[in-house]
Amino acid sequence: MAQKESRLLNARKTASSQKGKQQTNHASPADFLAGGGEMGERIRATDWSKTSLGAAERWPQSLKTIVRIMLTSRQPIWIGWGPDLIKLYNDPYKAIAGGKHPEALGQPASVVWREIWDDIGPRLQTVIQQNEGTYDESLLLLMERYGYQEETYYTFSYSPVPGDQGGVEGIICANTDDTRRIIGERQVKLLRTLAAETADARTIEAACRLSAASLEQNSYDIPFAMLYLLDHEKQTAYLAGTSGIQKGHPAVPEVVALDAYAVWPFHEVIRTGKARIISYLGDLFDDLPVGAWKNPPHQAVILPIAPSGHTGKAGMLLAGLNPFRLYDEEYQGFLNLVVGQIAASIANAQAYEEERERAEALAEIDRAKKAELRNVEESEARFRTLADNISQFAWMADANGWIFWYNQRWYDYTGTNLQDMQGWGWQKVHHPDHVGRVVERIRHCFETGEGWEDTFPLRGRDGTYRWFLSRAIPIRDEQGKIIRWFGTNTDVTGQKQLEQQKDDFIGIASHELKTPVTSLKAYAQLLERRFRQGGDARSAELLQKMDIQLDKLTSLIGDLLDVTKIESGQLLFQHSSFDFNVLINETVEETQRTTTRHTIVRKLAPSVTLSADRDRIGQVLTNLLTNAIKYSPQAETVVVKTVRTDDAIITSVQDFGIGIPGEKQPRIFERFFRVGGETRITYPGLGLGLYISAEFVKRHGGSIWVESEQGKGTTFSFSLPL
Amino acid sequence: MQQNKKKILIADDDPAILDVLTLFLQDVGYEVESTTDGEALRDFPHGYPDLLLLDIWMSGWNGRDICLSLKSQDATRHLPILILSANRETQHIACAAGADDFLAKPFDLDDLLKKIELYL
Repeated sequence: MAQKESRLLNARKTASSQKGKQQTNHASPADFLAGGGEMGERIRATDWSKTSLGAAERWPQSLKTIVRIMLTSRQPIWIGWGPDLIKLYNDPYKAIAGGKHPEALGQPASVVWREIWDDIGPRLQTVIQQNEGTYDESLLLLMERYGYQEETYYTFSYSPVPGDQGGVEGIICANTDDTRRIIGERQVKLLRTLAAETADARTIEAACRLSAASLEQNSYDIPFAMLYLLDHEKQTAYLAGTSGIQKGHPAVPEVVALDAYAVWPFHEVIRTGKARIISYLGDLFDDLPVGAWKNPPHQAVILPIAPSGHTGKAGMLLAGLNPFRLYDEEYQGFLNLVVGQIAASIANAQAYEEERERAEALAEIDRAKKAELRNVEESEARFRTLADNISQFAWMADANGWIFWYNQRWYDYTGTNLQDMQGWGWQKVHHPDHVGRVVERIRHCFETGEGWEDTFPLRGRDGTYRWFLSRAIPIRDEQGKIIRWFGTNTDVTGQKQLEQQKDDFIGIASHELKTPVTSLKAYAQLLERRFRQGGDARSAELLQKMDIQLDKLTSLIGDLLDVTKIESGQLLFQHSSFDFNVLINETVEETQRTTTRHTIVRKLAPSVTLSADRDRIGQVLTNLLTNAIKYSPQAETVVVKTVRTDDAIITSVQDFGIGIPGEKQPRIFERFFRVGGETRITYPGLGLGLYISAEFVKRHGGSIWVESEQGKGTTFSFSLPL
Repeated sequence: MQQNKKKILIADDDPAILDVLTLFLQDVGYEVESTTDGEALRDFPHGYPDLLLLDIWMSGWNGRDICLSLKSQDATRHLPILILSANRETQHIACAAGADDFLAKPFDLDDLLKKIELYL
């Protein structure tokens, strides 16, 4: 289109210049109007006699002269003549007249330039009245040449032109259109500022804030702007900077959802990746900032800010548009450069941030390493001090079990040195009866990575042996690979002796206690028999009661002995096959003999044959039954029930007594634990029965548990595998 | 009671148990002999009993060795030996030593009688 037009103009130009040549050649009276292209032709074609200027031939000489100058000049020139400053202009000026051409020819200047008359009227007045020239450089003039008000800049001078009779008859004005230069300069300046201001931005946040703030420098082309960054996770854009607009303004939300209901259609811009014009801003918001102008923008544009790289921040620049310019290619080009610069600043800041984070991380690692090294050194020193001062022997071996370090205690006791002891040299101080086993077992652990524990004698420097409990654990690296072994040897000679003494004592004590009880019991039973045979049933009954008390004593002694055995691992079971119900019946009958108040009710499943220690299982039953009786002094019934499952027989003993508080139930099977009654009645017993029962059941591969409700009663159950 | 009373020898180092068991077994009609000395069981100066009640924890010559020895001699191989012990875990020792039966102390006289009657 533009090309066509210019071709047309060229054609006209050619035609007119040919005409001009012809006229020049014919030297017509209107010689001063010769040439001058289109405007020359138009001026010639105009019947000036119908205007206040009168016929061209009769124009004053001075007017003719300046018209001649005008038509032959390549500079845009216009002439205003007469009181109305009737307008004449040349071809170069047509661009300035814009849409006013060609009607502007012959019109009073005040009509042609009515929209800028406030600016230029007073200047022209001065020229005419004071006969002085004016000069304005790059004056902003909001011309309305194409149906809209347009920002223009002109450098121009008005010069008074005298009439033939003196006085000022008109003016001649030479113009330079500076619009493009001025706009270009301020845009370049902004871009430069933008680059300079954000160069030092070290964070994305600062880059955005500084970028946006820089835009204020050119409030002509960007009356206001907001910078948003995307939060992809949250599907929102958040405000990162503003220019020329207050943060609280309705047009400046802190967060914009990326959907169709948001204030600004950011989601569209993201989806298309293209700029989007928002028109009729005035309808959307009141009181929008005006920037450098008197009127607010009526359009804004949202430009996408492309992310840099994969992790880069994406965003949007929303810019109010200059109300006095078309959003043309140049303007778009400018804003694209602005956005490009902002994107670069963000990318730089991000790179810097990442670099700083990397550097900080490295510094942190470095610090940590140094600290660790210090810690290692300190902890090594602490460890040595500790290791040399503990009463145990300590040693370390490599992954293969080659011992490379012993603490001082080891050398003090054995009277050896590292030379003798390193590697597998330690065998020299082992007892010949044990060393074979010790070597075999520790080798196994070194090979499999299992923790090692053994107890064996070690020869001291005086040639005597003491017993040591020895342990070693593997130390592993982060991958789980064994890097070394750490071992200790603890002198347990005293402990071993004590244990032996304790075991001996309990064994002897039990035996010594049992011996008189055995004869007491026999005497009581003998007497009972004799009284019964003698017909003294009452005395016989008394002796029976005595016998029951002796059974209790026996059972207490037995418990003490059992605990000792459990603790020292000497508990041995005598397994045999037996009928379980027969055992239950026997035990129930025996226990029934000890109570007159309670009735033990049996609810037994068909019997099973168990392979177990009959006496020990009987002991468990007796324990549970006597407990049930003991802890239900007000009740009259105790229930023994058996239930058979696929692989076990479950026996329950239920009482209707005081019950066990919930918080005490988990501890009920602990050694020496006793449940006190609410009424502070103390119940006799050592608190060993349930502990022993639980151990017996567990070591038969069964389990034992309790269900109880305070005031309602308790049910103890145990299972035994079939 | 019977003319031909069966004789039971009791060996225990506790005189009280010897006393009461002697009284009891005599009450039920046995001839009873007793000793606190294990050594006395080497040659049976008063002749062989029909049953030996032997405490496993004898001072001097202990019950296990006595049992082993008697069960290894032709003269005494068939002598029923009932081992008494305050430690029920020694039952397996008694069995290993060839004892015919085992009774843990303290015991009911009725149980003792039942066991004796198994062999006499």
